[in-house]
Amino acid sequence: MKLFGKLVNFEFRRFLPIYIMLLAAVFLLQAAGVLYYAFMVKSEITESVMKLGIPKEQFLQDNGYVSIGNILSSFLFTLPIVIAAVTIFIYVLFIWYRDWLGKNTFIYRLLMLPVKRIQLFFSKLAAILIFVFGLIAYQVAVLPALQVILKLIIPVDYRLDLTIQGMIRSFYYLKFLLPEKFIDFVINYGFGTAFVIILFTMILIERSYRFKGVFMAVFYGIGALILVFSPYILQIIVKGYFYETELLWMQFAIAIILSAVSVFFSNHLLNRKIRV
Amino acid sequence: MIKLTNIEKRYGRKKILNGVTFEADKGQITCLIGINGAGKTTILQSIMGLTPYQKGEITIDGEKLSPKMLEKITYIPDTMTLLPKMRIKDAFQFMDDFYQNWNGERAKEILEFFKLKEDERISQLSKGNTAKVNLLMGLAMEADYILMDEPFSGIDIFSREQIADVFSSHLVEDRGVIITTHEISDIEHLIDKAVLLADGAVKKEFMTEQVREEEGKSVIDVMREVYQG
Repeated sequence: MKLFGKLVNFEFRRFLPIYIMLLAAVFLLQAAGVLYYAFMVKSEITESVMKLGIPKEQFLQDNGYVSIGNILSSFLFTLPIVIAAVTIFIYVLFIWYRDWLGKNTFIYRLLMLPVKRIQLFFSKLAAILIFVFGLIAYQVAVLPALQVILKLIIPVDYRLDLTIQGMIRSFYYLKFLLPEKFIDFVINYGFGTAFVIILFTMILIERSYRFKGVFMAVFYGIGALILVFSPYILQIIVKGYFYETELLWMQFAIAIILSAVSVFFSNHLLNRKIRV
Repeated sequence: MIKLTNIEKRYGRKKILNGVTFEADKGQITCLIGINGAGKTTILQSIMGLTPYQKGEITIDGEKLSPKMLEKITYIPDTMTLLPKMRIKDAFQFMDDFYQNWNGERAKEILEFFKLKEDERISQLSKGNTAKVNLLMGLAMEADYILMDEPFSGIDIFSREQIADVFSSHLVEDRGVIITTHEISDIEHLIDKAVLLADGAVKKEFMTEQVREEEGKSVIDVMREVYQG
């Protein structure tokens, strides 16, 4: 267990420089979005209220209160989230391939560590999950700071400040990533984790069987996809017999079974089939 | 003792190892000799579980390879296996973190012997120094067995001499060493046992001293007989 912790720490530190750059990019782009919005609204207030003499109440009736909630779906807010998500997705592939294809073949060292090889699999998976949860936690922590920027520019009379929960509810991506119900959280991240596990297994199939493995991995991936969506195929056959929630639970159960099978298979590949 | 029994390995239809059987004892230097493509590296990788084989059995002191066993056996490949951005001291830390049998004192001793510095980055090492660091990472382990793949490959004469010195030093004393090479002249006088390979099979296996004393032949003489008929 101690060695597993060290492995996770090692994997985490390898991606840390890129991760820090990602976090900085998220803050800078979102701060730029807030500044742009705040100055635009402020100039509107100056123009309408100060120069044209429109009463404050009238302005608020026409334009509504200024709130960070108004810009949480804007391009500059969603772009860094998309960039971060894409980067982490690429890293899911890169986290294995860099050990084989880098300048030095570090996979030798990893496979020769005195730990069960499946721990390498789980340490990489844990690192990915830490990156994802870290990014979400960071986004939540950054929101109040961004609201402070808005507070510094827009007068209190024109502003509607949101609580953290209010900000999360107004932010489409966060609403999905941090659902209100715990069960939704388990389902969302359960599917996400199953996806990463299946992808890892596909990579290990390719790394074990090389050229032939490419086709085997694609076949495995397509098979997994068909199985996950099989409840919906069944639903068509039985002409809408099941409720939506029942279909979701069936999918979830299939994802859990597929994950278990993938871990078992990956363990076999790492111990018996993998090559440097 | 490392024991290989009837090891067979294929890549597709091509047979890479064809019934390889030999033993390497503790306290002896066993040299796998053969031209490129004879299967030397594949044998070492098979012992370490770095490449699968289809038939046969490999045991180390009577047991199959397990994570625990990787404290007992160490492999020095002919390629750098540390991350380029690591400094030598980071590599030491990495080994110390994961191996109970890592001997930091010994690592520093070998570092001094090779005249290397802890702060040097792996990516900036010359080919000769890369080979030395590879060797160092293996020798600093308190392992019973050391597998070395072509430690003299492509390095200058002074580095070769330094590495050859290691074989007669206390650093390999009492350990079982399996070394592969196609340049036997550097270590001919140091090896205890030679295993001649061709086309993935063992052509001849002999104790060098016995052949020297009883038949008056050097390893190179026997190689000529086997490979050139």
